[in-house]
Amino acid sequence: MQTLQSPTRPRSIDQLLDPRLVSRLSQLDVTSRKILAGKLKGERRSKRRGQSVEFADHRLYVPGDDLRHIDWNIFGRLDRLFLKLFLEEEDLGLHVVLDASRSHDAGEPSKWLFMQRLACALGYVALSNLHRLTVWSMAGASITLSERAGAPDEPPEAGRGEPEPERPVVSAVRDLRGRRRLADLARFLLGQEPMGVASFTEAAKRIALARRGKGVMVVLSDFFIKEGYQDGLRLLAGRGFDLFAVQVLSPQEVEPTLGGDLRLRDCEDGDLADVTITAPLLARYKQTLAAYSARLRDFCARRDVTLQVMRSDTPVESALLDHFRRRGLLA
Amino acid sequence: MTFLTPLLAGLAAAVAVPALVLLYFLKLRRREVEVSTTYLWKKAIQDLQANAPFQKLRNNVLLILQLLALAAALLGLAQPQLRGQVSGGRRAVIAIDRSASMSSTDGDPANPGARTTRLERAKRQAREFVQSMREPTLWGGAGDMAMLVAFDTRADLLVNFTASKPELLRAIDAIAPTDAPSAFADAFAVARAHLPDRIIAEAGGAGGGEVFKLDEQKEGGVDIQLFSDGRIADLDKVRVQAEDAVTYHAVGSERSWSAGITELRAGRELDKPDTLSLFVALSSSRPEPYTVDVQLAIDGAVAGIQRATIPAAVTAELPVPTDAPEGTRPVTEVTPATTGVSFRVLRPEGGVLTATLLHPDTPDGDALRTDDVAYLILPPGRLLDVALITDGNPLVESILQAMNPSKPVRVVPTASAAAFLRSADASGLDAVVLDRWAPSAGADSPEGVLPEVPALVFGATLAAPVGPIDAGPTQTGRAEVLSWRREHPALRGVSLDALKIAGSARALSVPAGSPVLSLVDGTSGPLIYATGSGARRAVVVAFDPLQTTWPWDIGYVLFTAKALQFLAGTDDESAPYFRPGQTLAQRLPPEATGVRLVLPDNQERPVVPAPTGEVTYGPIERIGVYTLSWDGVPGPRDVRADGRSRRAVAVNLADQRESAIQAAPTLLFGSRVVSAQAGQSIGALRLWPWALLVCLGVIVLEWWVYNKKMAL
Repeated sequence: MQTLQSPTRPRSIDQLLDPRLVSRLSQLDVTSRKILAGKLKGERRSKRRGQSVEFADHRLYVPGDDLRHIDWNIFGRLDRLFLKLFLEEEDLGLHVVLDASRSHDAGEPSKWLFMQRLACALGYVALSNLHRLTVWSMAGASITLSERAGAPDEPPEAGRGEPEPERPVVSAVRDLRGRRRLADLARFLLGQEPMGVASFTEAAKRIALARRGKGVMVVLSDFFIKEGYQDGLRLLAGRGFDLFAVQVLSPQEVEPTLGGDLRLRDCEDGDLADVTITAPLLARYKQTLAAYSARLRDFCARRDVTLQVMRSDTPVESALLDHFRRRGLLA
Repeated sequence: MTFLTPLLAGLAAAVAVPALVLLYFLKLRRREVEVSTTYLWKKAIQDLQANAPFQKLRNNVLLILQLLALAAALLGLAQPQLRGQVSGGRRAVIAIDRSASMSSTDGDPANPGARTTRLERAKRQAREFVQSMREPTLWGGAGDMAMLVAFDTRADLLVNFTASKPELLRAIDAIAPTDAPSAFADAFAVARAHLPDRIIAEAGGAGGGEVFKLDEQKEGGVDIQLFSDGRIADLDKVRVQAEDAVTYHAVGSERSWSAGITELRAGRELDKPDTLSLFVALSSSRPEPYTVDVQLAIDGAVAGIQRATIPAAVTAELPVPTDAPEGTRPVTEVTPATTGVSFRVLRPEGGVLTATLLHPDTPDGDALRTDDVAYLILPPGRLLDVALITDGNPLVESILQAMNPSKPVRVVPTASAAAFLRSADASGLDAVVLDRWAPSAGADSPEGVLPEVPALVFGATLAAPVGPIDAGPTQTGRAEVLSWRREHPALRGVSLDALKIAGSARALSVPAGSPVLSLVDGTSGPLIYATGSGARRAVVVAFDPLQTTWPWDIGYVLFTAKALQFLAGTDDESAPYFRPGQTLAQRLPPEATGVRLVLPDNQERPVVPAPTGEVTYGPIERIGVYTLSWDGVPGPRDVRADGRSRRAVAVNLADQRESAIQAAPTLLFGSRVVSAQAGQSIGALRLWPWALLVCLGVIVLEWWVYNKKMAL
């Protein structure tokens, strides 16, 4: 649970996405429990009638309809004009939101690394299936939202231990489509680094305001948010997004290995807590963590948000193939 | 429970307790660890990190345990103790009885098999008392002081007032038992003598000031801690003042008893000096009759055993004074029962007689062994060689003949008496009997009229200064016997009640400083007296026995024989034995040199004799046979062995009161009643080691609790 003094960062896409995993991911697709309208033509069936090859229904011709869709066979038999309707196939928008506050730079293996790999794998699945992929990173205090599609924000240059530069509340790489944009995705993910205090509500508000259309949103966070996660999640879930919340915890947070008289310093806001780690306190801590997760789960359930709790030592393949499949995020 | 140093503990508590609590409020030096969030931890410990400090303390088991350990340590610092005296600055006198009865082996009634003596028990109690004495504190409080006195018949000041416990303990350990009877008056006087004098101020000094001077009264009273069995002979002579405090720590059992030899006498029959008669007086303080065998040994060889049954002793309770405290136990007085056995053995030689009680082996038997044995030094039996100077006295002549039937009595007429007494014949005699004749004054004798041979004079008196002043015959010539010295060897066993003197009494008077010792006082002065010393001594019967009723009395024969034995130095009762506590005094031949005294335990003590040959040693502590040896000629009763002259002297307890060993629960000092603290541990039970043990235990418990809480 301690933050890492010199965390290992992935330097290349290979370190984010294991090539052996790629073949398994190719067989997956992002699904949504909701039939959501896409923006572009895609490989996903839409509620709208469109121009795919899949027949949907007939209706009476009204002037102005495209004559190419008149079913002439019916006209021959019934002498009436009926129009053939086809299902529309649209793309699916996948939004992956990473909470890049400093608290995610904790644990062994690091929660941030796990979140990076998970986001990369999800992104690969989405890109492979011609979905629109937007990856959000919530960090910093200034509100500078990069609107440029496909142009990831420059990663901060400042190193750890130095005064943190002012960062935008949210940075994103948006509307990626097709496998060729995998490099952009990787560049964005590699350029992010957890630091500072996440203003979750503010960032969620920005994301909610900035997004276009509807889609599936996966929020990766530990949800250790002192200001509360409720408002943020409420904003993200409010616009008809199919929201998946993934609470990422490090093994050290689940089973602390601390002991003795300690002064705990919050890595985000520097808040101090003097504790004497005792067995009863550890038991109480685990109860508190369980209760916290249970409250989060209740909150999500009431708002039709799927919550998945994962440890950062969970293999990415297992997370995708087991957990996300079971939850209906992937098929 | 009391505390020896409560101030010290209070001060330490005033510092340590707030300090400990403060330490809990102060921040620990904690290791800093950066975590992802403190939110969960804070929530987890919100009960432990309550804002109110007392809520914090309430659930802090470790602090409570540490406070407990600190409280135990502070308690130890206050030196708590149960019982024991704690008043600071007291000056106590520890008086330990070391007399013969304190050698009784009932010191530990709970464990009679251990045969702990009363003295050992008393010393242990005294040590406990010393240990309970308050020591000076760091804050200048006065410590207790104590003086140590050991006493039997005499009192020895072993340690003057001191606060040094090691010194007192060493002195207590060094106290050895003696066989002497106990007397407390001297010890009490010693204790009072060391009290500080009272200083009084009187007006009338120069310039109207005050004059300070010492008062005869002592400052305050004496605080006596008496460790004894209460068998003390002279309690009525101890003048306990109202301001004096006497604490009586009784040792021994009230049910103990002892049978012992209280007298040992030996004598030879007048006409058969080969035959020895020995009388052993026995006493018992047992409440039931007691049968015991008495063994007589002469020079270590058993000469006879006789069985004697001593009746039951009588215990009486003296009335408790009316002003005695409520619940005071009555003073008990044990009157031992007595009996005696006699032996009759053929023993012409001298030797050391040893009478020993052979007790049946019973568990609740005799607790005092000192009085179970008695010694007597027996001179060789000898027929006296006595000359009779008379103008005719068949009665005396027949008495002398009966005393020494081996040869006829040498009778010298008075006309040639003076010449005879100066002749060499006379110098070899044991004694002479002067019948109605005495050497006249002016004879060429360096000591007046006394002849150089011990003389028994009948019907005459010696002239002053060796004799009394003679005022001539009384007017009537009659005289009545008023009193006589029954204990004198010449009169032992002689009754003069029926003596009628007619026509021969003389009016005699004894001037001050005269060597005359009146043996029989009559209405006209001394009727029989002893005078002189050494070889020149005489027993004088100042009236003519033939003009009295005495010749018809067996007492006359007895007196004649006893007086001659006394004069000749062959009476066995002249100085039968000494008692412990007395001074051993003997007159050796004046030319004796290199005198040494061998004690019963074979230790040797050099003794320096006075020019007259007197040697003294004492006071005697143990019973047994003491042997004086010297270079030079032996005296008439001495023996010669290994080239040196030797004289044995017996020392026996022979004290009926000391043999009655029932521990007294109550002492009566005049009218002051002091009850014993028997059965009560006077030593302080020091609790500070226990307090420290509790402290240690709590620390261990705290360690365990800490580790249990810390176990992950």
